[in-house]
Amino acid sequence: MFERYQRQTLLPEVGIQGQETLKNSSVLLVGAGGLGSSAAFYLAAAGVGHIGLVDDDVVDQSNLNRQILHTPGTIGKSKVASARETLKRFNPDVTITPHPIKISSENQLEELITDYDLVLDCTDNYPTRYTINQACIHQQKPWIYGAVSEFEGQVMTLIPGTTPCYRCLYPSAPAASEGIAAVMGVAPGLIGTLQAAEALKYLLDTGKLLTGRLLFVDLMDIHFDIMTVTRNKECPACGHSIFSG
Amino acid sequence: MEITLRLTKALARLNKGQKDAVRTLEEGCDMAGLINLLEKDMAGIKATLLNETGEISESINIYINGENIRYLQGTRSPLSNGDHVGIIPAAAAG
Repeated sequence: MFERYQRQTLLPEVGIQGQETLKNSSVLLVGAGGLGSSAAFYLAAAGVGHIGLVDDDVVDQSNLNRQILHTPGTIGKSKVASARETLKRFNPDVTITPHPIKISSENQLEELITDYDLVLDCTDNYPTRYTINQACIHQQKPWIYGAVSEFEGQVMTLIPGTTPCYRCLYPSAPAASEGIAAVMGVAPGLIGTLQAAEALKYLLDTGKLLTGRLLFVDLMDIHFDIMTVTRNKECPACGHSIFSG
Repeated sequence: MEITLRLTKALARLNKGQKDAVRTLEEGCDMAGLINLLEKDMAGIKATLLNETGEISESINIYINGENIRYLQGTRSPLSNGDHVGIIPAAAAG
């Protein structure tokens, strides 16, 4: 039944029961670009039963250095449609739900995430990231932050009501626009993979999550650092939430 | 006393591309003192790290031995011999 997943069901942390859990799980990826590509591939590979993809963009040739869900043949096509095609070919067992929309409000995202167990932040901008933070706090939905720049990236797992939130980490976004961000494809490749690893651990309820800790990676020097992230009791986003931890 | 500093690539552009640095400080020097010292040979770093009121920019975190100084004593956080200071700005791309 789970022959495709034999190498992972051999793991005591997974087993047949864990594989059933993954099959019955749903993950929403906000962004079907660089981070979303590697994260979606590995979630589909692991047999996560339902993957939702949110992106209003279309595939452009300049995406192809890092967005491995897309191909020259899907240039001009909706990213979520392109991603769905690729993922369905890769693992037909997985249900892929495309959401070809731009996240324009917290309410809109809150409505969307109610159908999913977990959210992955695979966005490329600060406003959407703060919207994910707020919507997930309101819906008490766990999410996994990821972001990249050049050869570098950062990852953190956030569980509302238990861990610090994104606004505890970065109270506000930089004022100035960075213009077109320079990114080497392996950076979102690795960070998206780490997001997928965090997602699988969360769904399987195993391992030690990156909660209250920020992982910073510099691939140019192969430098990995883990920083402590503290909850801000005065945080305008989560400061009034009831915390269990 | 001596501290080590680690910068991201974007900030290292203010340091001739060098991400790692070592600085010798006077005993009792705090983070504000270190930032003033850095400004002497990394012109522009002070304005990058601090806002108009002299507090740490909300989109940048400075860590002493992995602890965010925003939740220690801010720019008044004391430094000790052998401390490792890491500076990590928010990143946007995905």
